[in-house]
Amino acid sequence: MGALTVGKALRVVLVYELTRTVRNPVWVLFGLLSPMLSLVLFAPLLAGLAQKAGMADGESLRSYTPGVLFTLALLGSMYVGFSLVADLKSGLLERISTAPVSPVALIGGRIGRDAFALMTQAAALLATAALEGLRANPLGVALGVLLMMLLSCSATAGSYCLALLLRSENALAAVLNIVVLPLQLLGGTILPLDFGPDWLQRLGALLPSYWAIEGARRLFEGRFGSVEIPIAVAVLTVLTGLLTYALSRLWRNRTCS
Amino acid sequence: MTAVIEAAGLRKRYRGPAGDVPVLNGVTMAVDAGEVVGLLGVNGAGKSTTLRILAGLLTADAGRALIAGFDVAHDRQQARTRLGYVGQAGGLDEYVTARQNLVFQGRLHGLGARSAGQRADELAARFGFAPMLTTSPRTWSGGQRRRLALALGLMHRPAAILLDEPTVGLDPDIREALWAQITELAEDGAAVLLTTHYLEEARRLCTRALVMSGGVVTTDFPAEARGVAGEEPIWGR
Repeated sequence: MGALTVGKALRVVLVYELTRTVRNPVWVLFGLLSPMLSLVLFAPLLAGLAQKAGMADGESLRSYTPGVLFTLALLGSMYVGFSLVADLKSGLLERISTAPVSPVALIGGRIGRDAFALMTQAAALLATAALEGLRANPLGVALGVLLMMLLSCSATAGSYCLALLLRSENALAAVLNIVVLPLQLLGGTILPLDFGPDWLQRLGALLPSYWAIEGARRLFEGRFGSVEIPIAVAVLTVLTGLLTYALSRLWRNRTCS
Repeated sequence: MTAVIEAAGLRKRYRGPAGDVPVLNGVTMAVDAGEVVGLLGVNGAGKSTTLRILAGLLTADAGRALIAGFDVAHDRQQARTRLGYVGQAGGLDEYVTARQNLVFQGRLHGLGARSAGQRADELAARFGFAPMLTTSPRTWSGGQRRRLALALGLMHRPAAILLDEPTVGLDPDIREALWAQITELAEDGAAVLLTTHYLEEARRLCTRALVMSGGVVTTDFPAEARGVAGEEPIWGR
């Protein structure tokens, strides 16, 4: 008996976190509900509109699905901070922080669990989109999901940072509501920002959400040479790195682990 | 005898809206193997802060906190493998079963899956919740939850056990049973340091009582010397 290596601890924490999720699958289903409803109820409206505008059959769905996938990744990840606040209040975080385990494993296990949940939800969402007539490059779709997992990792780390700073469900809800809406709208979740004025496009280009969605759209279209793809990967990688670093510092300061 | 739990000149200040507030002003104490030491004092005396520094959950501004001779701030891993901490909130995970709570805690301390399972069964039998082991603690009574919290702190057979108000809010019968179980831990050779508001608890359970006031330990004496329950609190004299 003694201290675990980071790799072994990460596996132990990940398995435990997945067990928690499997025992309470209702939250994974709830997370899927809103994007799924968008896809089922809004996509047909958009298809009708696109047809009138002269777009090819299935083109609107190929443009809209990455936006819905983005919503799934963003909403599913940004709200995970609530579970951390609950664990802070129950003393669970305090208990596990007194164990001889690296915070990298404690944080990584949670983020891994959230990424796994996203993968499951994304599979269900894409299956529904396929039934609705989505025609997209299969490799591009797979890479698009990976891009969204990267986005999910950064959003999860950001949400945990806010949870550790605010330590209150009410404060966290207020801050998240302010953050999520501009990220969705200026990212071009529903419609590409190309349809909007210049100032809106310039504003959107300042946000990682814009590049995440545009990158995913190019991948779904199979346009692997597009500049949006490497920009999206670079922006999300840097963001994930920065937020994970901030989270590990905060975790150490707030729990002394 | 070498102290298993040791604090030397611990100082801590908290930042408040009106400036820094000193909470600990040089706490010094030692707990040997086989002892149950009670940390008494009014709210705000610094009991929980002392315990949290010893558990490595807070950093002291000055002084040293040692577990089995290892500095909790510098030899963090070594100290933590020898430490069992049970906080006021208990730290139970209601999303999984009691057994999964226990096994995870054991795994975090380096036990293999099988050893952790065996230890969970052993502790459940010892603390009397074996029939409920595969249920979530969500529906358990306060006494049952405290027992599970205590068992979680013991999964890795720690040499030093820190208990933050372990019997607060419990019925007298349940408190009595928990006292017996804590006494057994000391008889098995562990050093136990607990915070409490109850004089009766200090008298019945502890081999020594330390009284904290103004951020320091003002009195250190054998618990049986401090009179009977119901008397004026010793820190009020």
